[in-house]
Amino acid sequence: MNHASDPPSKKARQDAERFRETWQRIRAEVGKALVGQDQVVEGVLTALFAGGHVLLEGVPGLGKTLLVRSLGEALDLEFSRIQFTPDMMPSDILGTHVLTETKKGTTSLVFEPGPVVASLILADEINRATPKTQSALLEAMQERQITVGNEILVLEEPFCVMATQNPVEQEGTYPLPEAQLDRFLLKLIVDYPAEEDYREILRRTTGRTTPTLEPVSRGQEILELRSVVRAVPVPEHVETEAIRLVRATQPGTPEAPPLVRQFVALGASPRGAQALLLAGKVRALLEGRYAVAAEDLRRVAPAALRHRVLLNYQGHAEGVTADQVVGEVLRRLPVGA
Amino acid sequence: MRAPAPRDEALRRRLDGLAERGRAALLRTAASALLRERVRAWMPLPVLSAGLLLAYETAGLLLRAEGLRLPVLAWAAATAVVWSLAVLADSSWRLLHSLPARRQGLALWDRGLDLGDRLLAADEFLQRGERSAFEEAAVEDAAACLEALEDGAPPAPPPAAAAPLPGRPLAAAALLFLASAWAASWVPTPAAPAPELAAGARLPRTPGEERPAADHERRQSAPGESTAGEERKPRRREAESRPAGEEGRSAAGPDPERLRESLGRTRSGRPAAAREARGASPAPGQPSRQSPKSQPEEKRGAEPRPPKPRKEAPEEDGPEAKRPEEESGATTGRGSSRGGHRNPVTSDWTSRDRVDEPDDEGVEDEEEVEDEEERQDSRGGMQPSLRDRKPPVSRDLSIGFGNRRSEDANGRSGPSQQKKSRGTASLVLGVPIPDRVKGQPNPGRTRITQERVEPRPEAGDPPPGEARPAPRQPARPPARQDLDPWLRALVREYFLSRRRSADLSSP
Repeated sequence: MNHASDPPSKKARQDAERFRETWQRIRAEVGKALVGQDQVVEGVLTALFAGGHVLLEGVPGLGKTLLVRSLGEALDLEFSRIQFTPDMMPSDILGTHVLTETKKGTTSLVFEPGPVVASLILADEINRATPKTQSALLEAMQERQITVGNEILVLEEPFCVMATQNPVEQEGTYPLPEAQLDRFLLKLIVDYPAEEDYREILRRTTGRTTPTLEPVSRGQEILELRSVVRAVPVPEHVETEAIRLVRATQPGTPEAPPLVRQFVALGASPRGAQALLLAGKVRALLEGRYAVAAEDLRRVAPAALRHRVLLNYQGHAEGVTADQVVGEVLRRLPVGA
Repeated sequence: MRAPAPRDEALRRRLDGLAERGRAALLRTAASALLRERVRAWMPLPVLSAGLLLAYETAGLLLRAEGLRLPVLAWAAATAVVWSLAVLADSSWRLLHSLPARRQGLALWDRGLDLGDRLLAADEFLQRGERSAFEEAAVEDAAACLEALEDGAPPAPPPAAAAPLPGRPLAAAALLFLASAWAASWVPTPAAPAPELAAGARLPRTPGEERPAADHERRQSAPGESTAGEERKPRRREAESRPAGEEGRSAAGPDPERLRESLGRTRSGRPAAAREARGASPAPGQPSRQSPKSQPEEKRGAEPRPPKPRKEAPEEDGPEAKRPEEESGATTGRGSSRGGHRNPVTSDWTSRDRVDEPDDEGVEDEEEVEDEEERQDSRGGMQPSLRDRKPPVSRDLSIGFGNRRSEDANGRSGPSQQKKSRGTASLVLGVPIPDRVKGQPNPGRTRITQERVEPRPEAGDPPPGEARPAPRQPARPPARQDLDPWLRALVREYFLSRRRSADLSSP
């Protein structure tokens, strides 16, 4: 590095280094409460720094709620938890106008914000709410604002929705519509912990002391690091790679492998390509690079594309999963140059 | 921000050098892999050529037709030349269309050394006039990698997937075979004199006479007289002579001796069968696998018919055989279009189900009484029965025009032979009203059998009559039978006691 004295490149290097340090601090602090689940934690942090939302899918008892709560404590962000139930109404999430008495003795309608007005939202078991209530999150997730009556309330950044859903208990649930699934940047599968992690989990959760998390970052720093992520350049061949990957999940395109043509009804949208690039930028910074590489896209492709691939009836009947489809796309599509 | 030009130029030169080395490595690997693949893909050409040559020569030997033999050395040389040219041309063509680009040369270094596309990104960013801080940092990052790669050897390219194309070698082999067969008739060869045309045309019809003359003429003929026309004409004449040769002694065959042997082994005086046997037997001495034909069949065709049309003949007659059945109305009503020209519910509905009514005179129809199957298919109601798996009755209400019946009409509408509706609606043209018996929405499957039997006397002896005796007493009511005195007294006492115990006081 003979040109380290170059101010612009030096600033970029410092920003990238700061990003990695903050990442490591948050990761270590969350690790005090959550054992294992490295990929899930990395995915959640990727979505947080990329400015997206994340959908966690896993059976109960794997630490999904603990992860999000720990993240809120480590980031010192306003944390809100919404337990979705079938009888929940949109006003239970967004808030409503309440008739209050003023100091003058008159009454007026005052907006009482709901739990969605926070920085870190844990939408627990989101598929148990009705579509009407689920769609109340649409505007908040996409536009970062909510509309109640004639009032529009802009949500404060950073705003990140982390929703969980149980893949096994499907009775009495309402599967998320495609429009809402597309709004999640990543979908992470929370699997059972490894064998060596069980011992540490038991030791931490059944002892006399419980781990206490300290805030290691602030919301403002998260916003600054988000701008650093956005500043990472994307070479042209990486953009082409993202487009090819997304198009390969669409059954009507020439890039689609036979598995996609046979079992996929709907492929990823342009939001999928955006998710690939944003998550790829985070991966590039973590890898110590200053530009996105094609391998970054391929690494985040399963989490960024699995919830955007809609299988057809034949695919469901044959037991094909979205992960298999994305894996086949990655396997069949050669890395472009 | 503007990057310093000398540093950029130096980086570009280094990247150019790496790209060229990477391209050269890719080109070498691709060329060798492509050559191996093409050699493997075109390998069927010499194999097929050798097989065809062997088959051709074997046929020539078996038929003892010298003209059928090809020049082996010329064939082998042509095959080798064509194979080499094909492999080279195919490889060159594919290589020209898959020349590695500059990006691929750099990507070889990036992917092979796990550099994370640093070189590719720097190569792209160096071409931009204005670079951001991160782009500048990416260029500097790549410069550090370039220094380490200055004297390194390019990594091995990944093996490319091969896609063999067997169609081209097959087509080339076929073309080579045809070209060689055609050229063999023009190239004078000592092994192929082929005077078959004149000799075959002059062969006597008697098998015993033709062999010496033909052999003699073949020996006398010059080698250079063999031409394409002369080779082909005997075969063509053989084919032409098959229908005309009622005796079947086609003297135009290329091998009269073999023909005579075949004739002697199979059926003397039946040359058509002999030709069939010769065509079926792969070698002399082997028995024919074909069955002997009947005499009319031998005399019929100009060429021996392939067995397939004869086998398919009964199948083709199948629909025609079914046609009378359809015309009889047995299958009508099973489809809206097929049976549309027939009335699916003919008069048997009214005649059979209400046979006990006095106005059912139609049951006298002889066909309906005798056809047991149609009688079982009759239904009491108009609802289609699912038991028979028949398609539902067509709901097409289109009517025919004039006297023409509609294609899809099923007899329920439009002009038909018999109108099956009642009431005022029956007077309106084109309004089909299903005939229905009230009170019997679905009486179920009815089986009503009728028997037209004329009353006839039964054989048997009548009971014999006898004289009635005169009564002994005059006719009167039967006499009253009195009770015994003790019983009468008992009854009297019983009723008297009841009267005494009863309260007789009047209200």
